[in-house]
Amino acid sequence: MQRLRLVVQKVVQTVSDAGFIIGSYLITLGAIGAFAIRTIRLGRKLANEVPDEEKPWL
Amino acid sequence: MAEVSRFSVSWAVLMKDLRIERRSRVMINQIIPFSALVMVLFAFALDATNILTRVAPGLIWLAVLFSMIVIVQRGFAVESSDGALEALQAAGVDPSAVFWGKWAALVVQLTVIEVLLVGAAVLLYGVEIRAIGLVLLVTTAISATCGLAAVGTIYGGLAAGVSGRETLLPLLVLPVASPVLIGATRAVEAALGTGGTTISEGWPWLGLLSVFAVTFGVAGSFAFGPLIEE
Amino acid sequence: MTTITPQTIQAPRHRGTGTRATRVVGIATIIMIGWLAVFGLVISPADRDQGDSVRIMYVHVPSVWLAYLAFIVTAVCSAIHLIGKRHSLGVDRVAGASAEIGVVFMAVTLVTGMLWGRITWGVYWQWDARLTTTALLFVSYIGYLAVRGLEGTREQRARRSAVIGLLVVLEIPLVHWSVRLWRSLHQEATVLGTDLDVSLDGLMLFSLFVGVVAFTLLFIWLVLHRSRTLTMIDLSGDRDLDAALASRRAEGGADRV
Repeated sequence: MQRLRLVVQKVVQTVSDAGFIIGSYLITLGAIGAFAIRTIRLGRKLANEVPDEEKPWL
Repeated sequence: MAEVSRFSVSWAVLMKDLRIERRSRVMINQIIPFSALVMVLFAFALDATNILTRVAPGLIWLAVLFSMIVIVQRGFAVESSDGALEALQAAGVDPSAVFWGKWAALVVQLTVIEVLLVGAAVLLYGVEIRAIGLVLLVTTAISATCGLAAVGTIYGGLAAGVSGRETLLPLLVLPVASPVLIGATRAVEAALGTGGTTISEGWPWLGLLSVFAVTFGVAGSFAFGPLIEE
Repeated sequence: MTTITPQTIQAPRHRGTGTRATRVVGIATIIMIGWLAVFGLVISPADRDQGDSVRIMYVHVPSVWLAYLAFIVTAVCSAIHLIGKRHSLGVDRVAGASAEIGVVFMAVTLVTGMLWGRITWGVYWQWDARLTTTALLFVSYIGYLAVRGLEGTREQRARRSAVIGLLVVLEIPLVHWSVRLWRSLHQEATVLGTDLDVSLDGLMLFSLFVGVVAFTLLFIWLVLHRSRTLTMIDLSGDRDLDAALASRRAEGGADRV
Protein backbone atom coordinates (compact mmCIF):
# COMPACT_ATOMS: atom_id res chain seq x y z
CA MET A 1 0.00 0.00 0.00
CA GLN A 2 2.82 2.34 0.97
CA ARG A 3 4.74 1.44 -2.15
CA LEU A 4 1.67 1.96 -4.31
CA ARG A 5 1.24 5.43 -2.90
CA LEU A 6 4.89 6.23 -3.64
CA VAL A 7 4.50 5.02 -7.21
CA VAL A 8 1.38 7.11 -7.66
CA GLN A 9 3.11 10.14 -6.23
CA LYS A 10 6.03 9.69 -8.57
CA VAL A 11 3.75 9.40 -11.59
CA VAL A 12 1.81 12.48 -10.53
CA GLN A 13 5.01 14.47 -10.20
CA THR A 14 6.58 13.42 -13.48
CA VAL A 15 3.53 13.48 -15.73
CA SER A 16 1.64 16.74 -15.96
CA ASP A 17 -2.06 16.47 -15.10
CA ALA A 18 -1.74 12.75 -14.40
CA GLY A 19 -4.93 12.71 -12.38
CA PHE A 20 -6.94 13.96 -15.32
CA ILE A 21 -5.30 11.60 -17.77
CA ILE A 22 -5.55 8.47 -15.66
CA GLY A 23 -8.99 9.59 -14.57
CA SER A 24 -10.18 9.78 -18.14
CA TYR A 25 -8.91 6.24 -18.82
CA LEU A 26 -10.58 4.97 -15.67
CA ILE A 27 -13.86 6.72 -16.45
CA THR A 28 -13.92 5.38 -20.00
CA LEU A 29 -13.09 1.80 -19.13
CA GLY A 30 -15.12 1.91 -15.92
CA ALA A 31 -18.32 3.14 -17.50
CA ILE A 32 -18.13 0.75 -20.42
CA GLY A 33 -17.07 -2.08 -18.13
CA ALA A 34 -20.02 -1.44 -15.84
CA PHE A 35 -22.38 -1.44 -18.81
CA ALA A 36 -20.85 -4.67 -20.11
CA ILE A 37 -21.08 -6.42 -16.73
CA ARG A 38 -24.69 -5.36 -16.31
CA THR A 39 -25.53 -6.70 -19.74
CA ILE A 40 -23.81 -10.01 -19.16
CA ARG A 41 -25.41 -10.45 -15.74
CA LEU A 42 -28.87 -9.69 -17.06
CA GLY A 43 -28.24 -12.02 -19.99
CA ARG A 44 -27.25 -14.89 -17.68
CA LYS A 45 -30.27 -14.32 -15.49
CA LEU A 46 -32.68 -14.27 -18.40
CA ALA A 47 -31.00 -17.17 -20.17
CA ASN A 48 -32.29 -19.48 -17.44
CA GLU A 49 -35.85 -18.30 -18.00
CA VAL A 50 -35.90 -18.65 -21.76
CA PRO A 51 -35.56 -22.10 -23.33
CA ASP A 52 -32.59 -22.58 -25.66
CA GLU A 53 -34.67 -23.34 -28.72
CA GLU A 54 -36.19 -19.86 -28.63
CA LYS A 55 -32.81 -18.15 -28.72
CA PRO A 56 -32.14 -17.21 -32.32
CA TRP A 57 -28.37 -17.05 -31.95
CA LEU A 58 -27.80 -20.62 -30.82
CA MET B 1 -66.33 5.92 -49.08
CA ALA B 2 -66.49 9.35 -50.54
CA GLU B 3 -63.04 10.56 -51.46
CA VAL B 4 -62.17 13.52 -49.28
CA SER B 5 -59.40 15.75 -50.49
CA ARG B 6 -56.33 16.10 -48.32
CA PHE B 7 -56.74 19.81 -48.09
CA SER B 8 -60.27 19.59 -46.78
CA VAL B 9 -59.16 17.12 -44.12
CA SER B 10 -56.39 19.47 -43.00
CA TRP B 11 -58.80 22.38 -43.07
CA ALA B 12 -61.34 20.44 -40.99
CA VAL B 13 -58.69 19.51 -38.40
CA LEU B 14 -57.49 23.12 -38.23
CA MET B 15 -61.00 24.51 -37.82
CA LYS B 16 -61.82 21.89 -35.21
CA ASP B 17 -58.72 22.78 -33.16
CA LEU B 18 -59.45 26.49 -33.35
CA ARG B 19 -63.06 25.91 -32.39
CA ILE B 20 -61.96 23.88 -29.37
CA GLU B 21 -59.67 26.72 -28.38
CA ARG B 22 -62.40 29.29 -28.78
CA ARG B 23 -64.79 27.33 -26.64
CA SER B 24 -62.43 26.06 -23.95
CA ARG B 25 -60.47 29.34 -23.70
CA VAL B 26 -57.39 27.44 -22.49
CA MET B 27 -55.25 29.64 -24.70
CA ILE B 28 -56.57 32.90 -23.29
CA ASN B 29 -57.03 31.78 -19.72
CA GLN B 30 -53.92 29.71 -19.24
CA ILE B 31 -51.30 29.69 -21.97
CA ILE B 32 -51.07 33.41 -22.66
CA PRO B 33 -50.88 34.24 -18.92
CA PHE B 34 -48.21 31.55 -18.61
CA SER B 35 -46.02 33.06 -21.32
CA ALA B 36 -46.50 36.56 -19.91
CA LEU B 37 -45.46 35.17 -16.53
CA VAL B 38 -42.32 33.68 -18.06
CA MET B 39 -41.38 37.12 -19.40
CA VAL B 40 -41.90 38.68 -15.98
CA LEU B 41 -39.85 35.94 -14.31
CA PHE B 42 -36.97 36.56 -16.73
CA ALA B 43 -37.06 40.18 -15.62
CA PHE B 44 -36.82 39.11 -11.99
CA ALA B 45 -33.93 36.78 -12.75
CA LEU B 46 -31.95 39.23 -14.88
CA ASP B 47 -32.64 42.38 -12.92
CA ALA B 48 -31.15 45.26 -14.90
CA THR B 49 -33.06 46.79 -17.82
CA ASN B 50 -30.04 47.13 -20.09
CA ILE B 51 -29.34 43.42 -19.79
CA LEU B 52 -32.96 42.66 -20.56
CA THR B 53 -32.88 44.78 -23.71
CA ARG B 54 -29.72 42.99 -24.79
CA VAL B 55 -31.07 39.46 -24.28
CA ALA B 56 -34.72 40.15 -25.12
CA PRO B 57 -34.69 38.29 -28.50
CA GLY B 58 -33.47 35.11 -26.81
CA LEU B 59 -35.98 35.43 -24.00
CA ILE B 60 -38.85 35.88 -26.47
CA TRP B 61 -37.95 32.67 -28.28
CA LEU B 62 -37.38 30.76 -25.05
CA ALA B 63 -40.82 31.81 -23.88
CA VAL B 64 -42.24 30.73 -27.27
CA LEU B 65 -40.58 27.32 -26.90
CA PHE B 66 -41.93 26.80 -23.39
CA SER B 67 -45.39 27.89 -24.42
CA MET B 68 -45.25 25.59 -27.42
CA ILE B 69 -44.60 22.60 -25.17
CA VAL B 70 -47.73 23.45 -23.20
CA ILE B 71 -49.81 24.05 -26.33
CA VAL B 72 -48.71 20.78 -27.94
CA GLN B 73 -49.44 18.79 -24.80
CA ARG B 74 -52.87 20.31 -24.67
CA GLY B 75 -53.48 19.94 -28.43
CA PHE B 76 -52.78 16.22 -28.41
CA ALA B 77 -54.40 15.51 -25.07
CA VAL B 78 -57.59 16.61 -26.81
CA GLU B 79 -56.96 14.10 -29.62
CA SER B 80 -56.06 11.11 -27.50
CA SER B 81 -58.56 11.48 -24.66
CA ASP B 82 -61.47 10.29 -26.76
CA GLY B 83 -59.47 8.26 -29.26
CA ALA B 84 -59.96 10.84 -32.01
CA LEU B 85 -56.69 10.00 -33.76
CA GLU B 86 -57.57 6.32 -33.87
CA ALA B 87 -61.03 7.11 -35.16
CA LEU B 88 -59.53 9.20 -37.95
CA GLN B 89 -57.21 6.37 -38.87
CA ALA B 90 -60.02 3.86 -38.81
CA ALA B 91 -61.87 6.16 -41.19
CA GLY B 92 -58.92 5.88 -43.58
CA VAL B 93 -57.94 9.52 -43.39
CA ASP B 94 -54.51 10.34 -44.75
CA PRO B 95 -52.25 10.89 -41.69
CA SER B 96 -50.21 13.55 -43.50
CA ALA B 97 -53.40 15.57 -43.95
CA VAL B 98 -54.01 15.33 -40.21
CA PHE B 99 -50.40 16.37 -39.65
CA TRP B 100 -50.79 19.52 -41.73
CA GLY B 101 -54.07 20.36 -40.01
CA LYS B 102 -52.54 20.08 -36.55
CA TRP B 103 -49.50 21.95 -37.84
CA ALA B 104 -51.63 24.85 -39.08
CA ALA B 105 -53.50 25.06 -35.78
CA LEU B 106 -50.17 25.19 -33.94
CA VAL B 107 -48.87 27.86 -36.32
CA VAL B 108 -51.91 30.03 -35.59
CA GLN B 109 -51.52 29.65 -31.84
CA LEU B 110 -47.78 30.24 -31.88
CA THR B 111 -48.24 33.36 -33.99
CA VAL B 112 -50.65 34.78 -31.42
CA ILE B 113 -48.15 34.04 -28.64
CA GLU B 114 -45.26 35.58 -30.58
CA VAL B 115 -47.10 38.82 -31.30
CA LEU B 116 -48.02 39.13 -27.65
CA LEU B 117 -44.51 38.31 -26.46
CA VAL B 118 -42.92 40.87 -28.76
CA GLY B 119 -45.43 43.37 -27.38
CA ALA B 120 -44.48 42.35 -23.85
CA ALA B 121 -40.78 42.78 -24.69
CA VAL B 122 -41.46 46.30 -25.97
CA LEU B 123 -43.41 47.19 -22.85
CA LEU B 124 -41.40 45.40 -20.18
CA TYR B 125 -37.86 45.20 -21.55
CA GLY B 126 -37.66 48.51 -23.40
CA VAL B 127 -37.09 46.87 -26.78
CA GLU B 128 -37.47 49.18 -29.77
CA ILE B 129 -38.59 47.87 -33.12
CA ARG B 130 -37.02 49.72 -36.02
CA ALA B 131 -38.88 50.05 -39.31
CA ILE B 132 -35.84 48.96 -41.32
CA GLY B 133 -35.78 45.57 -39.60
CA LEU B 134 -39.46 44.87 -39.89
CA VAL B 135 -39.21 42.65 -42.99
CA LEU B 136 -36.52 40.52 -41.40
CA LEU B 137 -38.47 40.33 -38.15
CA VAL B 138 -41.66 39.13 -39.84
CA THR B 139 -40.00 36.64 -42.20
CA THR B 140 -37.96 35.24 -39.30
CA ALA B 141 -41.06 34.81 -37.20
CA ILE B 142 -42.89 33.07 -40.06
CA SER B 143 -40.12 30.61 -40.91
CA ALA B 144 -39.26 29.90 -37.27
CA THR B 145 -42.91 29.32 -36.46
CA CYS B 146 -43.34 26.92 -39.38
CA GLY B 147 -40.30 24.92 -38.26
CA LEU B 148 -41.27 24.87 -34.60
CA ALA B 149 -44.82 23.87 -35.40
CA ALA B 150 -43.58 20.97 -37.54
CA VAL B 151 -41.34 19.68 -34.75
CA GLY B 152 -44.05 20.18 -32.15
CA THR B 153 -46.63 18.33 -34.22
CA ILE B 154 -44.34 15.38 -34.95
CA TYR B 155 -43.40 14.78 -31.33
CA GLY B 156 -46.83 15.68 -30.04
CA GLY B 157 -48.28 12.96 -32.28
CA LEU B 158 -45.74 10.48 -31.00
CA ALA B 159 -46.53 11.21 -27.38
CA ALA B 160 -50.29 11.35 -27.87
CA GLY B 161 -52.10 8.64 -25.99
CA VAL B 162 -49.03 7.42 -24.16
CA SER B 163 -48.63 7.78 -20.43
CA GLY B 164 -45.58 9.73 -19.33
CA ARG B 165 -45.79 12.09 -22.30
CA GLU B 166 -45.79 15.19 -20.12
CA THR B 167 -42.20 14.59 -19.19
CA LEU B 168 -41.11 13.06 -22.48
CA LEU B 169 -42.22 15.86 -24.79
CA PRO B 170 -39.73 18.54 -23.65
CA LEU B 171 -36.90 16.01 -23.71
CA LEU B 172 -37.66 15.21 -27.34
CA VAL B 173 -38.62 18.65 -28.63
CA LEU B 174 -36.05 20.96 -27.05
CA PRO B 175 -32.87 19.43 -28.52
CA VAL B 176 -34.41 19.29 -31.99
CA ALA B 177 -35.73 22.84 -31.69
CA SER B 178 -32.39 24.27 -30.54
CA PRO B 179 -31.28 25.31 -34.06
CA VAL B 180 -34.48 27.36 -34.26
CA LEU B 181 -33.75 28.96 -30.90
CA ILE B 182 -30.24 29.89 -31.99
CA GLY B 183 -31.24 31.00 -35.49
CA ALA B 184 -34.38 32.93 -34.62
CA THR B 185 -32.66 34.67 -31.71
CA ARG B 186 -29.76 35.87 -33.85
CA ALA B 187 -32.05 36.93 -36.68
CA VAL B 188 -34.29 38.90 -34.34
CA GLU B 189 -31.22 40.49 -32.76
CA ALA B 190 -30.19 41.60 -36.23
CA ALA B 191 -33.68 42.90 -36.97
CA LEU B 192 -33.80 44.88 -33.75
CA GLY B 193 -30.19 45.95 -33.95
CA THR B 194 -29.46 44.52 -30.51
CA GLY B 195 -25.84 44.97 -29.48
CA GLY B 196 -24.96 46.86 -32.66
CA THR B 197 -25.81 44.07 -35.07
CA THR B 198 -26.75 44.95 -38.63
CA ILE B 199 -29.69 43.71 -40.68
CA SER B 200 -27.43 41.86 -43.11
CA GLU B 201 -26.25 39.56 -40.32
CA GLY B 202 -29.77 38.24 -40.04
CA TRP B 203 -30.24 36.78 -43.51
CA PRO B 204 -28.00 33.68 -43.18
CA TRP B 205 -30.10 32.73 -40.16
CA LEU B 206 -33.26 33.07 -42.18
CA GLY B 207 -31.76 30.54 -44.60
CA LEU B 208 -31.16 28.12 -41.74
CA LEU B 209 -34.67 28.59 -40.41
CA SER B 210 -36.21 28.00 -43.83
CA VAL B 211 -34.20 24.83 -44.41
CA PHE B 212 -35.22 23.66 -40.95
CA ALA B 213 -38.90 24.34 -41.60
CA VAL B 214 -38.88 22.56 -44.97
CA THR B 215 -36.89 19.58 -43.62
CA PHE B 216 -39.14 18.93 -40.68
CA GLY B 217 -42.28 19.77 -42.63
CA VAL B 218 -41.49 17.10 -45.19
CA ALA B 219 -40.23 14.67 -42.54
CA GLY B 220 -43.35 15.21 -40.48
CA SER B 221 -45.76 14.53 -43.28
CA PHE B 222 -44.03 11.19 -43.89
CA ALA B 223 -43.36 10.30 -40.25
CA PHE B 224 -46.72 11.19 -38.78
CA GLY B 225 -48.47 8.07 -40.11
CA PRO B 226 -46.06 5.51 -38.65
CA LEU B 227 -45.83 7.49 -35.40
CA ILE B 228 -49.53 7.56 -34.57
CA GLU B 229 -50.36 4.17 -36.05
CA GLU B 230 -51.63 1.72 -33.46
CA MET C 1 -21.12 -42.53 -9.38
CA THR C 2 -23.14 -39.60 -10.57
CA THR C 3 -26.72 -38.92 -9.79
CA ILE C 4 -28.70 -36.86 -12.19
CA THR C 5 -30.62 -34.30 -10.26
CA PRO C 6 -33.37 -32.27 -11.87
CA GLN C 7 -31.15 -29.22 -11.58
CA THR C 8 -28.38 -30.64 -13.71
CA ILE C 9 -30.90 -31.63 -16.35
CA GLN C 10 -32.38 -28.17 -16.41
CA ALA C 11 -29.05 -26.38 -16.33
CA PRO C 12 -28.67 -24.99 -19.85
CA ARG C 13 -25.60 -25.89 -21.82
CA HIS C 14 -25.26 -22.36 -23.10
CA ARG C 15 -24.94 -19.88 -20.31
CA GLY C 16 -25.99 -16.32 -20.93
CA THR C 17 -25.62 -14.52 -24.19
CA GLY C 18 -22.19 -15.82 -25.10
CA THR C 19 -21.28 -17.89 -28.11
CA ARG C 20 -17.96 -18.90 -29.62
CA ALA C 21 -17.98 -15.74 -31.76
CA THR C 22 -18.51 -13.38 -28.85
CA ARG C 23 -15.80 -15.12 -26.84
CA VAL C 24 -13.30 -14.70 -29.67
CA VAL C 25 -14.22 -11.04 -30.10
CA GLY C 26 -14.18 -10.55 -26.34
CA ILE C 27 -10.68 -11.94 -25.90
CA ALA C 28 -9.43 -9.87 -28.83
CA THR C 29 -11.03 -6.79 -27.24
CA ILE C 30 -9.34 -7.36 -23.92
CA ILE C 31 -5.96 -7.80 -25.60
CA MET C 32 -6.44 -4.64 -27.65
CA ILE C 33 -7.53 -2.61 -24.63
CA GLY C 34 -4.42 -3.82 -22.80
CA TRP C 35 -2.36 -2.67 -25.77
CA LEU C 36 -4.20 0.65 -25.77
CA ALA C 37 -3.34 1.24 -22.12
CA VAL C 38 0.30 0.35 -22.72
CA PHE C 39 0.67 2.46 -25.85
CA GLY C 40 -1.51 5.33 -24.73
CA LEU C 41 -0.15 5.74 -21.23
CA VAL C 42 3.44 4.52 -21.50
CA ILE C 43 4.99 4.05 -24.93
CA SER C 44 3.62 6.95 -26.96
CA PRO C 45 5.44 10.25 -26.44
CA ALA C 46 4.02 13.43 -24.96
CA ASP C 47 2.89 15.96 -27.52
CA ARG C 48 5.04 19.01 -28.26
CA ASP C 49 2.16 21.46 -27.69
CA GLN C 50 -0.28 19.55 -25.54
CA GLY C 51 2.11 17.66 -23.32
CA ASP C 52 0.79 14.54 -21.72
CA SER C 53 -2.81 15.60 -22.10
CA VAL C 54 -2.68 14.21 -25.62
CA ARG C 55 -2.91 10.78 -23.99
CA ILE C 56 -6.56 11.46 -23.26
CA MET C 57 -7.08 11.55 -27.02
CA TYR C 58 -6.32 7.85 -27.29
CA VAL C 59 -9.51 7.06 -25.41
CA HIS C 60 -11.47 10.19 -26.33
CA VAL C 61 -11.23 9.96 -30.11
CA PRO C 62 -12.03 6.23 -30.30
CA SER C 63 -15.03 6.68 -28.01
CA VAL C 64 -16.47 9.54 -30.03
CA TRP C 65 -15.91 7.56 -33.21
CA LEU C 66 -17.69 4.65 -31.60
CA ALA C 67 -20.60 6.76 -30.42
CA TYR C 68 -21.15 8.05 -33.94
CA LEU C 69 -20.73 4.56 -35.39
CA ALA C 70 -23.34 3.31 -32.91
CA PHE C 71 -25.78 6.02 -33.97
CA ILE C 72 -25.15 5.26 -37.66
CA VAL C 73 -25.93 1.61 -36.94
CA THR C 74 -29.11 2.68 -35.15
CA ALA C 75 -30.18 4.84 -38.08
CA VAL C 76 -29.45 2.13 -40.65
CA CYS C 77 -31.31 -0.48 -38.61
CA SER C 78 -34.22 1.93 -38.18
CA ALA C 79 -34.38 2.44 -41.95
CA ILE C 80 -34.19 -1.32 -42.57
CA HIS C 81 -36.98 -1.88 -40.09
CA LEU C 82 -39.26 0.69 -41.71
CA ILE C 83 -38.50 -0.13 -45.35
CA GLY C 84 -38.15 -3.89 -45.04
CA LYS C 85 -41.21 -5.98 -45.79
CA ARG C 86 -40.85 -8.07 -42.65
CA HIS C 87 -40.54 -5.10 -40.28
CA SER C 88 -38.13 -7.30 -38.38
CA LEU C 89 -38.10 -6.93 -34.61
CA GLY C 90 -34.58 -8.37 -34.54
CA VAL C 91 -33.27 -5.38 -36.49
CA ASP C 92 -35.15 -3.10 -34.13
CA ARG C 93 -33.43 -4.69 -31.14
CA VAL C 94 -30.03 -4.20 -32.75
CA ALA C 95 -30.96 -0.53 -33.25
CA GLY C 96 -31.91 -0.26 -29.58
CA ALA C 97 -28.81 -2.06 -28.34
CA SER C 98 -26.61 0.10 -30.52
CA ALA C 99 -28.23 3.31 -29.28
CA GLU C 100 -27.76 2.28 -25.66
CA ILE C 101 -24.09 1.60 -26.27
CA GLY C 102 -23.81 4.86 -28.19
CA VAL C 103 -25.22 6.79 -25.24
CA VAL C 104 -22.68 5.19 -22.89
CA PHE C 105 -19.80 6.01 -25.22
CA MET C 106 -21.11 9.52 -25.77
CA ALA C 107 -21.29 10.17 -22.04
CA VAL C 108 -17.71 8.96 -21.71
CA THR C 109 -16.70 11.12 -24.66
CA LEU C 110 -18.17 14.23 -23.09
CA VAL C 111 -16.50 13.61 -19.74
CA THR C 112 -13.06 12.85 -21.18
CA GLY C 113 -13.42 15.77 -23.56
CA MET C 114 -14.12 18.08 -20.65
CA LEU C 115 -11.11 16.77 -18.75
CA TRP C 116 -8.95 17.38 -21.82
CA GLY C 117 -10.46 20.83 -22.25
CA ARG C 118 -9.68 21.71 -18.64
CA ILE C 119 -6.02 20.90 -19.22
CA THR C 120 -5.69 22.43 -22.68
CA TRP C 121 -8.05 25.40 -22.66
CA GLY C 122 -8.25 25.93 -18.91
CA VAL C 123 -12.03 25.53 -18.97
CA TYR C 124 -14.21 22.46 -19.01
CA TRP C 125 -16.54 23.67 -21.72
CA GLN C 126 -16.33 25.66 -24.93
CA TRP C 127 -19.36 26.54 -27.02
CA ASP C 128 -17.68 25.00 -29.99
CA ALA C 129 -19.75 23.52 -32.82
CA ARG C 130 -18.41 20.03 -32.33
CA LEU C 131 -18.91 19.99 -28.57
CA THR C 132 -22.36 21.49 -28.66
CA THR C 133 -23.57 19.19 -31.42
CA THR C 134 -22.27 16.21 -29.49
CA ALA C 135 -24.01 17.32 -26.30
CA LEU C 136 -27.34 17.84 -28.07
CA LEU C 137 -26.96 14.53 -29.84
CA PHE C 138 -26.41 12.88 -26.48
CA VAL C 139 -29.64 14.34 -25.11
CA SER C 140 -31.49 13.40 -28.29
CA TYR C 141 -30.48 9.77 -27.97
CA ILE C 142 -31.50 9.73 -24.34
CA GLY C 143 -34.87 10.84 -25.72
CA TYR C 144 -34.72 8.02 -28.28
CA LEU C 145 -34.16 5.50 -25.48
CA ALA C 146 -37.06 7.04 -23.55
CA VAL C 147 -39.28 6.50 -26.60
CA ARG C 148 -38.19 2.86 -26.66
CA GLY C 149 -39.35 2.60 -23.07
CA LEU C 150 -42.86 3.86 -23.82
CA GLU C 151 -45.80 1.58 -23.30
CA GLY C 152 -47.29 -0.22 -26.28
CA THR C 153 -46.81 -3.33 -28.35
CA ARG C 154 -43.42 -4.44 -29.68
CA GLU C 155 -44.41 -3.42 -33.19
CA GLN C 156 -45.44 0.02 -31.99
CA ARG C 157 -42.21 0.42 -30.10
CA ALA C 158 -40.18 -0.64 -33.09
CA ARG C 159 -41.98 1.65 -35.51
CA ARG C 160 -41.96 4.68 -33.25
CA SER C 161 -38.34 4.36 -32.30
CA ALA C 162 -37.32 3.74 -35.91
CA VAL C 163 -38.96 7.02 -36.94
CA ILE C 164 -37.32 8.86 -34.04
CA GLY C 165 -33.98 7.24 -34.87
CA LEU C 166 -34.19 8.66 -38.38
CA LEU C 167 -35.42 12.09 -37.25
CA VAL C 168 -32.37 12.48 -35.01
CA VAL C 169 -30.21 11.96 -38.09
CA LEU C 170 -31.99 14.93 -39.72
CA GLU C 171 -31.32 16.95 -36.60
CA ILE C 172 -27.53 16.48 -36.51
CA PRO C 173 -26.55 18.59 -39.58
CA LEU C 174 -29.03 21.34 -38.68
CA VAL C 175 -27.72 21.61 -35.13
CA HIS C 176 -24.13 21.57 -36.34
CA TRP C 177 -24.82 24.21 -38.98
CA SER C 178 -26.59 26.50 -36.52
CA VAL C 179 -23.90 26.27 -33.86
CA ARG C 180 -21.12 26.84 -36.40
CA LEU C 181 -22.83 29.89 -37.79
CA TRP C 182 -23.44 31.16 -34.29
CA ARG C 183 -19.83 30.80 -33.19
CA SER C 184 -18.35 32.14 -36.41
CA LEU C 185 -20.41 35.31 -36.14
CA HIS C 186 -19.70 36.00 -32.52
CA GLN C 187 -16.13 34.88 -32.10
CA GLU C 188 -13.55 36.51 -34.31
CA ALA C 189 -10.48 34.62 -33.27
CA THR C 190 -11.22 31.04 -32.37
CA VAL C 191 -10.24 30.07 -28.87
CA LEU C 192 -9.69 26.56 -30.09
CA GLY C 193 -6.22 27.36 -31.35
CA THR C 194 -5.07 23.99 -30.16
CA ASP C 195 -7.77 21.91 -31.73
CA LEU C 196 -7.83 18.16 -32.00
CA ASP C 197 -6.00 18.43 -35.31
CA VAL C 198 -2.53 18.07 -33.84
CA SER C 199 0.30 16.91 -36.01
CA LEU C 200 0.58 13.33 -34.97
CA ASP C 201 3.80 11.45 -35.22
CA GLY C 202 3.89 7.79 -36.18
CA LEU C 203 3.70 6.34 -32.71
CA MET C 204 0.84 8.62 -31.68
CA LEU C 205 -1.09 7.74 -34.80
CA PHE C 206 -0.49 4.07 -34.08
CA SER C 207 -1.76 4.46 -30.50
CA LEU C 208 -4.87 6.11 -31.83
CA PHE C 209 -5.26 3.30 -34.33
CA VAL C 210 -4.97 0.74 -31.52
CA GLY C 211 -7.67 2.61 -29.64
CA VAL C 212 -10.02 2.67 -32.60
CA VAL C 213 -9.57 -1.04 -33.28
CA ALA C 214 -10.01 -1.90 -29.59
CA PHE C 215 -13.20 0.13 -29.29
CA THR C 216 -14.64 -1.16 -32.55
CA LEU C 217 -14.16 -4.73 -31.32
CA LEU C 218 -15.67 -3.71 -28.01
CA PHE C 219 -18.65 -2.26 -29.85
CA ILE C 220 -19.22 -5.47 -31.82
CA TRP C 221 -18.99 -7.52 -28.65
CA LEU C 222 -21.37 -5.23 -26.78
CA VAL C 223 -23.93 -5.10 -29.60
CA LEU C 224 -24.01 -8.89 -29.83
CA HIS C 225 -24.55 -9.32 -26.11
CA ARG C 226 -26.88 -6.40 -25.64
CA SER C 227 -29.18 -7.23 -28.55
CA ARG C 228 -29.37 -10.85 -27.38
CA THR C 229 -30.24 -9.64 -23.90
CA LEU C 230 -32.95 -7.38 -25.33
CA THR C 231 -34.29 -10.35 -27.28
CA MET C 232 -34.51 -12.36 -24.08
CA ILE C 233 -36.20 -9.49 -22.24
CA ASP C 234 -38.88 -9.58 -24.94
CA LEU C 235 -39.08 -13.38 -24.89
CA SER C 236 -39.35 -13.61 -21.13
CA GLY C 237 -41.96 -10.86 -21.24
CA ASP C 238 -43.95 -13.02 -23.66
CA ARG C 239 -43.55 -15.99 -21.36
CA ASP C 240 -44.72 -14.01 -18.36
CA LEU C 241 -47.73 -12.90 -20.36
CA ASP C 242 -48.45 -16.48 -21.45
CA ALA C 243 -48.11 -17.69 -17.87
CA ALA C 244 -50.40 -14.94 -16.62
CA LEU C 245 -52.96 -15.79 -19.29
CA ALA C 246 -52.72 -19.49 -18.48
CA SER C 247 -53.19 -18.92 -14.76
CA ARG C 248 -56.09 -16.59 -15.47
CA ARG C 249 -57.66 -19.23 -17.68
CA ALA C 250 -57.09 -21.82 -14.98
CA GLU C 251 -58.75 -19.56 -12.45
CA GLY C 252 -61.67 -19.06 -14.80
CA GLY C 253 -61.94 -22.83 -15.24
CA ALA C 254 -61.84 -23.36 -11.48
CA ASP C 255 -64.61 -20.85 -11.00
CA ARG C 256 -66.80 -22.60 -13.46
CA VAL C 257 -66.33 -25.98 -11.85
